[in-house]
Amino acid sequence: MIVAAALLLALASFCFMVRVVIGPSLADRIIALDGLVVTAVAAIVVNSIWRRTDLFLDVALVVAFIGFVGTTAGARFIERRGG
Amino acid sequence: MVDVLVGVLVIAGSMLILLAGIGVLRFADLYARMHAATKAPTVGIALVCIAGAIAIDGGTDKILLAAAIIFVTAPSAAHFVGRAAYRAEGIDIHLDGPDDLRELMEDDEDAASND
Amino acid sequence: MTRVVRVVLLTAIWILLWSDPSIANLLSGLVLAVVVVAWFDRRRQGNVIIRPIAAVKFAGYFLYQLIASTLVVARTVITPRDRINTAIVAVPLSGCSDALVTLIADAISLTPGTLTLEVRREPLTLYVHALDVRDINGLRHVVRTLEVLAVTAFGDDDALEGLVVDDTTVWRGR
Repeated sequence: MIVAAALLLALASFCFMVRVVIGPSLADRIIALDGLVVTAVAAIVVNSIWRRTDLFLDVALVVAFIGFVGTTAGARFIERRGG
Repeated sequence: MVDVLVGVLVIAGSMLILLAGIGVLRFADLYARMHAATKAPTVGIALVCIAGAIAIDGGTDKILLAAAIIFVTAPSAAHFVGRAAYRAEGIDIHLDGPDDLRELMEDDEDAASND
Repeated sequence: MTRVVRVVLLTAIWILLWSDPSIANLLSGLVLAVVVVAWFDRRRQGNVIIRPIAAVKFAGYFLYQLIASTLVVARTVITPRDRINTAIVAVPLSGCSDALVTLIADAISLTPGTLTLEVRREPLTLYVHALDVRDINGLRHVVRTLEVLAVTAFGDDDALEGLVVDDTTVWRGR
């Protein structure tokens, strides 16, 4: 079941990546990247469950923080330069 | 028993995140994509994190903190991007219904040009 | 009182980050929290009060809306065309502090097919993007319910009074 969940997350990140590539606007790419970050955090937690370890949880925490900061920075960029 | 519960939670959460991905890929305009990208994954990550909190020894606090961070920041991030995208030129925003914000923005522009 | 709550919350997050509730962590967390709260306290306006029963009601309604929202958006993803009818709707709020407006705006962003785009003071109005806007009154009702619950849970006395005075008559009727 854990493997199936990892597969679903891989499919999800594929969808987000396609949206990052095709755009069309910068805002589309930013929200897709934000979704990719959430998927990454989910993948780290799923990996931790699979391996029964708490080693990677700090990474999940930091990625969650950085994702928010990155999205906000992107939004500021759009506001100044246009999408 | 616990394993089954964890499995079901993880699958449900991943399914929601996948639905968000499909929505982001399929929806026709920016704001519809943002609806897909902000709500479903937030609940999805919450489910995955609850499963993690049950399954992983010693990591419960950090996992719940990560879930709380995403829960608090996701709507704010969506608000930032949405607000910036409305102001930016060159982004095609398609609306079927009324647009109450357009009037306000035009008022702002008038005020700015009168100064 | 508000400051004490903030210091306790920040210290709790600090200890969670270290995931080791030792005396040293507790003390360093307390010192940092006091410094941060003292530093940022200068900009604060309005008092945050917590009424436990009303707070539980707000949390319950919010969770219900969150789950409903997820199901609605999930259903929309599977069958897109017939359920998308987007618009930006202005929703007036009665007067409340910045912290409360933030809470309400965040809650709206997580409820079914709605996303806060812009906040204006004077008159206090939220501009909400809705995914399916065929039921504008239903949308306003959800926002209004969230607002009433949030103010009765966390608002100070001024905000509560504003809530009684305010009605849909403030709405300019576009």
